[in-house]
Amino acid sequence: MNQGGSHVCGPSPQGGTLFASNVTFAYGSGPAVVKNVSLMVPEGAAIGIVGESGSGKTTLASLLVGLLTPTTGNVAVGGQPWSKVGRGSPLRRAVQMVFQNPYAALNPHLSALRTVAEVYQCCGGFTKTEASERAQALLERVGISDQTQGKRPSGLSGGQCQRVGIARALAAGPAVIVADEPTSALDVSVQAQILNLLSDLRQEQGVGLVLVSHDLNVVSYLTERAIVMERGEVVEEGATTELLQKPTHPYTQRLIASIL
Amino acid sequence: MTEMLLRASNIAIEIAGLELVSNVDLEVDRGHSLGIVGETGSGKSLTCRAFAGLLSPIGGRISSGSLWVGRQDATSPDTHAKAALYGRVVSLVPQNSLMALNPLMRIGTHLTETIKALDADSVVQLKARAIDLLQRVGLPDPERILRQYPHQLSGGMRQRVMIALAIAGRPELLIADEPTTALDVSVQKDILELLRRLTHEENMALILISHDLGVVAAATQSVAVMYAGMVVERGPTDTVLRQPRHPYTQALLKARPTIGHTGRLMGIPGAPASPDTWPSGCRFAPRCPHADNRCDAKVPTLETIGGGHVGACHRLHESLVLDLSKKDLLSS
Repeated sequence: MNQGGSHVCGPSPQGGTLFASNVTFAYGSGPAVVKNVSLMVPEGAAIGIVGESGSGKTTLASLLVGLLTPTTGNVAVGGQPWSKVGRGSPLRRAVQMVFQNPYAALNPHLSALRTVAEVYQCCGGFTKTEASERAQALLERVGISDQTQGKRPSGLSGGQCQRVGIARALAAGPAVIVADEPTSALDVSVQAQILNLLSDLRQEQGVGLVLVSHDLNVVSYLTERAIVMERGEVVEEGATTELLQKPTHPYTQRLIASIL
Repeated sequence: MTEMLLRASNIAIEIAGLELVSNVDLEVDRGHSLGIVGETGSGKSLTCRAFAGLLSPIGGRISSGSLWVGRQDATSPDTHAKAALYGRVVSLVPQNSLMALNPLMRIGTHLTETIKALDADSVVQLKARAIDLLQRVGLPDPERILRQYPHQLSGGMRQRVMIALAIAGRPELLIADEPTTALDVSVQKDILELLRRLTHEENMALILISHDLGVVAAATQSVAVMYAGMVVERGPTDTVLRQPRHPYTQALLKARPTIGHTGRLMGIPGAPASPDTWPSGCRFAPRCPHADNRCDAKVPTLETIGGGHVGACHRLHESLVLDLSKKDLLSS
């Protein structure tokens, strides 16, 4: 099923929908918080980014979606560096983000339905009625029932807000979703629902996923490959299962030993 | 002989006329650690606020049942007795404690003010006691930390400061509400180790609230599982988490992803009922895969399974046992 426009970018010349090459980033004149990171997200793949607070995971995620511009190196989407992707370009829609705090990420004045419908209106060029119909169907798909769709974030639970956040990202018809700790604010039972939803959506819609998480269990459940970051650098990368079961870098070993 | 530090019998907690916690029975002995787990809104924090005497600031009260803390009746209105109890006999490390320090006050001031309020013997050597407390919670270079402001410390260090504040009055029972939720896994492990060490060294009892079953498995001897304001299962941590008998506990365990897990995670369908629409029978029944007619008709009470393990389910003694191997659960 495809809810919005079609996937707006195919494989880039480098062979991935999203490609970061030798990216370094520093906030202002501060020290580099992401150092020389390269990462490729092939079409439909799921990549995990793990590490502790301060390791640069979220900064890297912001660089991937084009919210930040690398100090050196570049991030390309569908073969185009972000700097060359104009505001109205369909490539802008190709990478969408799902945020850690589902309440803070939604406009408190908009109902769930409007939140998603606006994306269809502005990105898909649909009329208000068409956008609403599409938003209804998409919200239904992510588990927000008819009765709940009219509610604003304050009337929704954390899990419901996160579902709306995911629907909003999907409405743009992305090729890749970058999810920054999408379940760390949620209860374990709700977390399971959201993880299952992300996994189903990947299979149904072929959307790629970059999952940022400090929870190695979550990364192991959803992704095929993962990178481990320490102080802005990638210290280990590989197939997720292998990485988590036979870590070679001491930092990865320490992280895994800390799992309860 | 073990000494009981806290006994809650059948307590109910009300806020604005709404009963949010019902029929809670819990006991904690000196030197013992009890975990309380459950989803958001299950009443874990509220129950512990009641234990720490902190219901009135949020407009709550214990509406029935009895609560003994130390040797005192904590439901008595005697304010003098209460002042002697809280901070001294029982102390709470609140949830979100990373935000609980005053950003304009140095760590030293936080400590000395707390010591002045709680520990009359140490007032003459305030600074020495403050340094001693920081050392107890494993903070290096305490002299320097005394002069620092909260924003200059990492999350793990601030959590250690919060624990130092909580033990300033030399409490016998320490309650930690989600003490590691905002922390990295490696820091989480250190903080749990600290709590375990302090409980042992200071001969305290510990109540640890968490929504994370891994945390409770790693740090507590017994556990109570709460759902919709009630304790639904209780017993030795190892038994409850390896052989859970209540369908809710089973569902919580099955919802956890673990490394190497394949196949679909089992979420719990639906959402917890809110207090104004609690079902008249078992509160978990609407989401329970095993519910039958009895479950809608009558609230189940805690029944003995054996070895201190109790559960509140009409079908407790039927073959709903989910046996989890150590690998699935305690990956540590």
